[in-house]
Amino acid sequence: MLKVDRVEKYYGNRNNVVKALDCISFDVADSEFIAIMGASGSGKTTLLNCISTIDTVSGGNILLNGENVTDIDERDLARFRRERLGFVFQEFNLLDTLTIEENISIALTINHADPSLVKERVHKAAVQLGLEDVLRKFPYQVSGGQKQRAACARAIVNNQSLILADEPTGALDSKASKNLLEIMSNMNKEMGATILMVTHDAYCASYASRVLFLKDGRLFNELLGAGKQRPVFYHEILDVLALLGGDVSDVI
Amino acid sequence: MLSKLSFRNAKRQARDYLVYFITITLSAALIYAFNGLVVSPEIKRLSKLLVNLPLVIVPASVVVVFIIGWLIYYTMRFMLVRRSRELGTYILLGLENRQVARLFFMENLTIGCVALLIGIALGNLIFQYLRAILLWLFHIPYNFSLSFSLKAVGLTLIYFVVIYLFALVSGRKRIRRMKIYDLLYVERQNEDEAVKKSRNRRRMFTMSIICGIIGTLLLITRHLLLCLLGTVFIILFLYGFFISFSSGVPAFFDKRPLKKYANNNLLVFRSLASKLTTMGVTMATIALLFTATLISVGLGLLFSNLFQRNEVMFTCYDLFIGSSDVASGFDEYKEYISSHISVHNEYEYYIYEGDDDSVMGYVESKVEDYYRYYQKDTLMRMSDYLALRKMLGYPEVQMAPDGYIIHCMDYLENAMVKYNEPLIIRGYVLKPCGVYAESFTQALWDGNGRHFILVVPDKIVEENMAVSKIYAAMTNEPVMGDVFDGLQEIRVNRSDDSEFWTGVYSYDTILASAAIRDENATMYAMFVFPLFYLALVLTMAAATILTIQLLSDVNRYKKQYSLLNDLGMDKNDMRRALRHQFVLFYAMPTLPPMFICIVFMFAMGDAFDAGVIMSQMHLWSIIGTTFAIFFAIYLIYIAASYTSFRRNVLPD
Repeated sequence: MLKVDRVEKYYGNRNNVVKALDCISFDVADSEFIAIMGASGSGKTTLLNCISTIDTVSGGNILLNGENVTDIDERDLARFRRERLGFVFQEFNLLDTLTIEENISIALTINHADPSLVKERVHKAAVQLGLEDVLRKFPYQVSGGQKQRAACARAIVNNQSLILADEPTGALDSKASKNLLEIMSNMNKEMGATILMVTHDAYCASYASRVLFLKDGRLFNELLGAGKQRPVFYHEILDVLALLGGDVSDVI
Repeated sequence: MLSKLSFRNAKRQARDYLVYFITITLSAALIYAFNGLVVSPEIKRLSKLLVNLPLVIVPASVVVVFIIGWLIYYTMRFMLVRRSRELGTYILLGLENRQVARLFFMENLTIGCVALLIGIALGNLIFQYLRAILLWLFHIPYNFSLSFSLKAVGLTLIYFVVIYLFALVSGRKRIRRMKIYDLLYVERQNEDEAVKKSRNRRRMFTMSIICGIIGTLLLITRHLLLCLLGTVFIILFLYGFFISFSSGVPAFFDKRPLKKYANNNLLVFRSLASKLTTMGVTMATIALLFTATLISVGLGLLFSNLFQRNEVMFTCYDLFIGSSDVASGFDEYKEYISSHISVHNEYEYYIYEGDDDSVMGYVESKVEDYYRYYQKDTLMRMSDYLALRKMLGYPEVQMAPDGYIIHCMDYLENAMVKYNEPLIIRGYVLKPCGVYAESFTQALWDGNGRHFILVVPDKIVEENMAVSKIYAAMTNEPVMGDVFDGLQEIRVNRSDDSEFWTGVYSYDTILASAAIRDENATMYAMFVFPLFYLALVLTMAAATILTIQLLSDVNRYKKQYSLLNDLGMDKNDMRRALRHQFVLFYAMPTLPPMFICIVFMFAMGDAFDAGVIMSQMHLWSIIGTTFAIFFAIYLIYIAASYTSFRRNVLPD
């Protein structure tokens, strides 16, 4: 579904070039749950931004369902994002003047969805994520976990093809993190959502079916979780992190 | 070092406070200009009546002082919230609250002083403009002369000291009471209040609308006590409406999901509702100020219209003397005139009573508040009419020997043209021969008829009773001041011996166009100037507060739109949503005041004598001008803040 092909990204000027992404290639299949790990500055958020079209690549191609994201006209990028991608950010990024219900519906209204269907679709997503009781509340009235689930609901309500999550558990306590990861896992398994998640946290990554490791802008390693029990997979991830070094090892 | 740091911080926020600075400067300019009128010896010399000008300008200035004081206090409170982290850090570094408070106020005082200096320079120009208007009203040629009045500067300075004392004392208390935690986390405090939903608010919303309707109805009664009560209801309405509005809107949209989820409605109404929740009271106060502004401008224009109309309506002659005592001559007056006034044309004539009130009846059916003075129509001889037209320089007219002419006030012209009935006097049947509506001294009772007169062939009125006698003159010099007072004295003496044969009036009427012009110009300065002075300051202060409110939220909006951009919202949609948010935010506090103003103006328009307001269209044009003047100022603020807002909020 997603094909990242020799993607490069440079920052800086002629005298001082920083290579944030260095010839990265990988594929994501339909209904796959992929985690990208790496130390601070390893380029994982840059990669996510390039895929999400918030940032542009310096070289290489990114294909989503056969469409080359890097070729899309500037004017059509917004349309591409709202129709195809769902976002979950570390800081929730909900609009504080809108209720949870309205925050979820915003993904539909900016897509000019038929107003008569909005409520129904929002409710459906809310039920799937266990948000029925807080729909009429404002973000500041609900817990962090509920906020993040609302963000997930916003990401899936429009049947987006790919959900991009940037450190989704970064601002949550351990219980809320676990709850959210289980929900994301459900979204992946039961609803068939394709998820690409950037994270620092090995526990978080252990929910994915595949983990990619980045180091200094390059793809360093890849782990498959298929058929493994989560504790086993978790320890395998920790082992790779230990090899990776840098500040991620401090997490261990 | 610390002052340098504070200065640099203040400079960085100049973007937000530029509007505030400009308003303070303009207010200083207005205070200087209007108080310049009060102390100017040249203005005092224009008319004896103008010595009373301080009685209106000074109280108006006191109101201005309160409004500007409130504006400064409000802005300082805002700056305090915006810069609380910076101020908190100073305290964290070991500065005392007292020192921080002093630092903060020195900044504000500096802004105030600079604004005052520029304001006084600018005020001089505005003063010249006001002076030019006044001289024009008094028909005196205007020469530009830049005068600098120390007295006016002194007065402005006093007002400014009071303004700053008021604002500083209240702000100082605030800072001194604040703790480091409060300063560092002051932004968090607001959020608690963000949305408190309750059924009470919805009830309040309904109640406020009812209050608004009652208040408006009471205003229309034009009964002083009821009007005062109506004003109280209107104030209750404005506060209730804006405080509870935020709960009413979501309820409205919740019931209409089709509207709610269409276009950008969701974003627009929610941001408006949340803004109103946190600033409902401020919004209501601003709406109140706008109501006062619109009423001031409207009244100003109504009075200005009244005074202009008075000049046209009251007399067309340089000197007019009318008396219902037809038997006695004008000997005393004429003696006085020949020795005091140089006359180049004069004429004496009678006004006669007709046989019936057929034309008056017609006028009554057309003009609701026409007050008939005579029981029957009034007549004038054709030869008198022709002589008077010649004297006034009006074009010659012709009339058939069996015809009659109607000469009426301009507002009646359309109705009179449609009147085609023959006039029957002592058996003679006269046919209509035209309607003329030049200014003809017809507004009073003993002029050339009341609002209209019927001009008939001389022979017809020979046997009719004369109801008043008139002396009209055109003079070489304006009749005003002491010369006019001399005539008035004769009038008072004469009235003592006059026979009160009708019991309705006992005095002659003396009108001099120059004296009327003089009086109207003075009234203009006394009524219209202070009303516009207040209106200008009120609009600027309220628009500034709205703008500061909005600009202080720039970062929040920026975050919101950057998120929407990430989620893939269309750039055009974003621009449209921002524009709608903007328009609604600025329009909200103007809508109830506009409605109240229209009702008020209609009530006021009715209160004037028939003829002052010529038609409904005339009144609507005055209301339209009122709105145009208001929005001309308001739109400048909106445009300024929109440009800055759009640049800062929308992603590239």
